[in-house]
Amino acid sequence: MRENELLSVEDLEVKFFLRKSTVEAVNGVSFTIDKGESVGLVGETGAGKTTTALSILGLVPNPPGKVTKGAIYLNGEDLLKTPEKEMRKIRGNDIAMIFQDPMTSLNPVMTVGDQIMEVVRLHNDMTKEQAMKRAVEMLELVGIPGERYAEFPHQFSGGMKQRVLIAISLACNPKLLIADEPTSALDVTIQAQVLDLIAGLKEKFNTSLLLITHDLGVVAETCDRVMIMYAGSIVESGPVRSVYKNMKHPYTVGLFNSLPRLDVETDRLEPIKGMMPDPTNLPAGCAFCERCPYATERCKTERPVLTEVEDGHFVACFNPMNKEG
Amino acid sequence: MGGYKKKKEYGNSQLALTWMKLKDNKFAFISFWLVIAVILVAIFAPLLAPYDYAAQDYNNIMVPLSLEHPFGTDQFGRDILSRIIYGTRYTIIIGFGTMTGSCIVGVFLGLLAAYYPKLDNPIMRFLDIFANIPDMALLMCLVTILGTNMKNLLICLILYYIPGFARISRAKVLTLRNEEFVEASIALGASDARILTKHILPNALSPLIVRFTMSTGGSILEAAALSFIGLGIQPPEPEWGLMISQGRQFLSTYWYYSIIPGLCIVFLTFILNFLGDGLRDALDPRLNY
Amino acid sequence: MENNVMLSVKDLKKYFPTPGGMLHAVDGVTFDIQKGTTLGVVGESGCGKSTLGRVVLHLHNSTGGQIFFEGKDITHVSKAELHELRKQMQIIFQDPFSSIDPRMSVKQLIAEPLQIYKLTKSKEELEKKVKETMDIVGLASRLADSYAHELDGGRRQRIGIGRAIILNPSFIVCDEPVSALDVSIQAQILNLMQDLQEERKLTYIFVTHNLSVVKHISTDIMVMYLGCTVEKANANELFHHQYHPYTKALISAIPHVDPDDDTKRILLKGELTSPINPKNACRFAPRCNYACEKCHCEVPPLEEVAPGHFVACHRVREINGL
Repeated sequence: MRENELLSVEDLEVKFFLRKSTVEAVNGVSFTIDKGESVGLVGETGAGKTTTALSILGLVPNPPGKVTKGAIYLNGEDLLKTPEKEMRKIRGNDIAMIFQDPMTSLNPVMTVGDQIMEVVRLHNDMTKEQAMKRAVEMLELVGIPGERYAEFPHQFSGGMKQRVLIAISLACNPKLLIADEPTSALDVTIQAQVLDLIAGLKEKFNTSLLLITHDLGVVAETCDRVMIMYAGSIVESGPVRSVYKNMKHPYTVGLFNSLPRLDVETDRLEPIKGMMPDPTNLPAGCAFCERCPYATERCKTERPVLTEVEDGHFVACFNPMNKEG
Repeated sequence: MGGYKKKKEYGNSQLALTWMKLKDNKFAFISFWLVIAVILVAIFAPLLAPYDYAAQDYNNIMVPLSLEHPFGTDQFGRDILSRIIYGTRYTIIIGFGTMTGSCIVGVFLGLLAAYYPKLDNPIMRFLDIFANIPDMALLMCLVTILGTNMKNLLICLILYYIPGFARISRAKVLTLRNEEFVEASIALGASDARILTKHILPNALSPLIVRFTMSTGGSILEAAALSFIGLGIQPPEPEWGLMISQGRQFLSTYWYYSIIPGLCIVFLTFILNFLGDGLRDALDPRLNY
Repeated sequence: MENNVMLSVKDLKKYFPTPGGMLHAVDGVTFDIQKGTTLGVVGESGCGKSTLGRVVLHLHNSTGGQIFFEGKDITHVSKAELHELRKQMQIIFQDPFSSIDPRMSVKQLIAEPLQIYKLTKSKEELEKKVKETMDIVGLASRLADSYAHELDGGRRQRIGIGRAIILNPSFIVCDEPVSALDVSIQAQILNLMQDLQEERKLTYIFVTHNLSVVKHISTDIMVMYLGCTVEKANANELFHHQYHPYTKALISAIPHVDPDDDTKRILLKGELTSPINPKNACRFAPRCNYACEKCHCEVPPLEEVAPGHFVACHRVREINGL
C-alpha cells in the first residue's frame, strides 16, 4: 500500500444471479484512489458503474447480487470482510454517497435540517443542540440559509435538494465521497452551481471523490483522473489530460466521436456501431470486439488486461490506437 | 425468449405467450385445471352424483363416512357427497355470476367517471354509499328488502361488489390517461374508443383480474354467510354455506356435516386466488418468464 | 420565400390554471420554420419548450395566438380536420420507456398508425409496410414480435420514430428524442433523424435542453426562458455571438470536453422563478447580473440586433457594446 492511498479495489467481480441467467455486472475491476484525489468513472448505462460504487459501500442488493471475487481496501482494511455492523459505521462516516435523483433521496415528511442532524448524531456523540448547530453550519456551507432548517423537501427545488444531499453526505467529514450522477437530473445552469460547490468543498475538506457519470465534460472539469468503463471492465484509465488528449482504446475514441461538440464543427456524428453486449452472455474475448473496427482474431478469444502505455495511463486493448489513427 | 410458436396474425402472440407463462407457474397452472374441473363437476352434476341431492332416506340418517356414502348423510338421510356436487352449481353461479355482473357494471361506471369529469363525483359518491356500509349489514338489508331467492341474492352481491371494480378501474384509467403512450396515440390521431380498448383497458387488466378472482372467493363466502343466517339460498337446495349452517347443531358429534362443505369453500377460494395471481403475472408482458 | 414556410406561429400563448393562479407555460412566442429545416428550441426544465411543441400539435389547446401550417390557419380546427392534419404533423417523444404501450409488440406498435387511418387494404400490405418501416429505422425484422421492455432505449426510440414516419408526415415535433439515451446510441439516433430529414425533406422542431445536440442538428435556434423567447438566431450565429445574458450563461455552463479549455463559467445566481402569474417584467431579471430598474417593470420586446438575430433584452446594446 502506498502512503497516500485511500481506497484500493482489487480484481472486483460482481454477479447477479437471476432465475435463468447470470448477469456479469462487474468483471475484474481494479483501481485506487489517493487521498484528496478526484476520479471520474465514465460509462454508458449498464456498464457497471453504479454496481462498482455499491460494492464499495457493501450495498449490492443480495440476493440477487453477490461480490464473487476481489477485495476492497479502505486505509488498508478489507471492506468485503468487514461485518455489517462495522460497515454501518463506515457508511456515512468514512464513505458517503450522493445519489442521482435528489427528488427521491430525501424523506418527504422530515425537515431537511432534521435529516442532516440525524446523520450527524448517528455517527457522532453529540447532544441535540450541538448536532443542530452542526446541521445549520452544513446548510450554510452548501449555500442554503440556515433559516430554512425547518422546511420540508417539497419546499425546495431540485438544485436545492441536491445541495441538501451534499450537506448530508459531508456532515461527518467523510474521507471518500461517491457521487453517482449527481447532476444528471439538473439543468445546466444549476449543474454548474452544484459542480462548483462540490469542487469547492472537496478542496476545503480534502475529501477524495469518486464521480460516476456518463458526461465526459463533467469529468474534464472536475476530475484529476478518469476511468472509462465498458461492459463491467475498465478499458482505459489515466490522468484526464492524458486520456482525453491521447486516447488509446477504440471505445474511448468512439465515445468521443459520438459526442456532438460545441467546439468542433461536424456535419455528421460517427457513432459506435451496434450496442452493448448482453451482460448475461459476454463474449469470451474483449467485450468490445464485436463493435470494434480494429478487432483481430486474438480479440475474440482473449481478454485484454490493463497495461501502462504512458505514465499512469493504462489501456486494456491489444491494438491500442495511436493519436493519428 | 422464444420457444413458443409465433402466430402469423396480429395480436395473437400475446395469447400464446400468456399460456406459456401460466404453464411456467406451477401453482397457477394446477389451480387453472382444478377450476376447470370444478366447473365440469357443476355442469355434469347429475351424472357424477351417486344419489339425488334431495332424496330423503330415513333408514340412513346421519351415516358416518363410509364406502356407500363417502361423506356420510345428513339428518334426513341425504347423501352429503351428492349435495356437495350439486352445490358446486350454486357456488359457481354465485361466484362467477356476481363477479361478471359487477365487473361489467363496475368497469363501465369507472370508465365513465374517469373519462367525463362531470360524472365523476355523482357516480363515485353514490357508490361510496354502498362501499361504506358494513358488508353483512348491507347485504342483509338488501336481501330482506328484495326477498330471499337466488336471483335477488345475485343482484345484492352484484351491487355489493360494483364499487370495488368501479374504483379500481377509475383509478387505473386516471393514471393511464396521463401516460405518455396514450398521448402518443392521440398524436397519431387515434379515436377515444381505440385508445380505451387498445391501450387503456389492456393495461388496466391486471388489477381487475386480481380483483375478479380474489373477490370470487369472497362472494362465495358472502353467499355462504347469508345462507348460513337463512337469508340466502333456501333449503332444501344444497348450497355449501347453507350446509355448514345446517350441520352446525351436530358439530360435536357429526363434524363432517359442516366441515366438509367448509373445506370445499376454502379449497375453491384457494385455487381461485392462485389462479388470479398467476394470470396477472402471465398477462403482463413486462414480466419475463 | 413566403410560401416556403412550413409552420408559422404568431404570439402563441398557453396558460394552465393552477390552484396558485395562471401558469404561463408559453407566453407570446412567434416564429417561422422554413420547409426542410430544423428549429431547435432550447431552455431549461419549466421553460415551456415541451408545451410549445404540444400546443402546435393540438395536444394542448392554445390560450391565444395563431398557428399556420403551410399557410393555412390551423389554430381552430374541427375534429375531422385535426384527424387529417395529424397525418401531416407527428411527434417523437422524449422517454422511449413511457411513450410506448408496454402491452403491444413492435409490429403492432408500428402498424397502429396505418390501422387508425385504414391506409392498407390487406393484412399482407400492412405487414409489408411495417417491415419496410422497421427497415428504414434500423430495427431487425426478428424483433417484430418483441415487446418494448425487452429492448434497449435506442431501439425503443427507433420504434417511436417508425411510428412517427410511417404515415409520411412533412413535419415532426421532436421532444427531447435523445436525452434519455447514452451518447453512442444518441449519435446513432441523431444520424437516423438527419438521414430521414434529407430523404423526405422533413421539417423538425427539435426541443431539447442539450445545447451540443441542438447546435449539431438545428438550422435555427430559439432560446426560451419561462415561456418567453429570449434569443433567436441561426445556429452558427448563436453559438458565435450570444447577446442575451441568459444565453451567455447557458452556453458557458456546458462542461467543456477539452481539458485545456478553461474559459470561466458564468454562474447564475438562484434558480428559476415561478411561472405562475408572472410580473409584467423581464422574466430573467431576478437572476440577471445586469438587471436594471426597467427590467423589473417592463417586458422587453424581441428586437433584431443583427440580421436574423433577435434578442429580448432592454440592455442588449449596452451590455454588448452594439
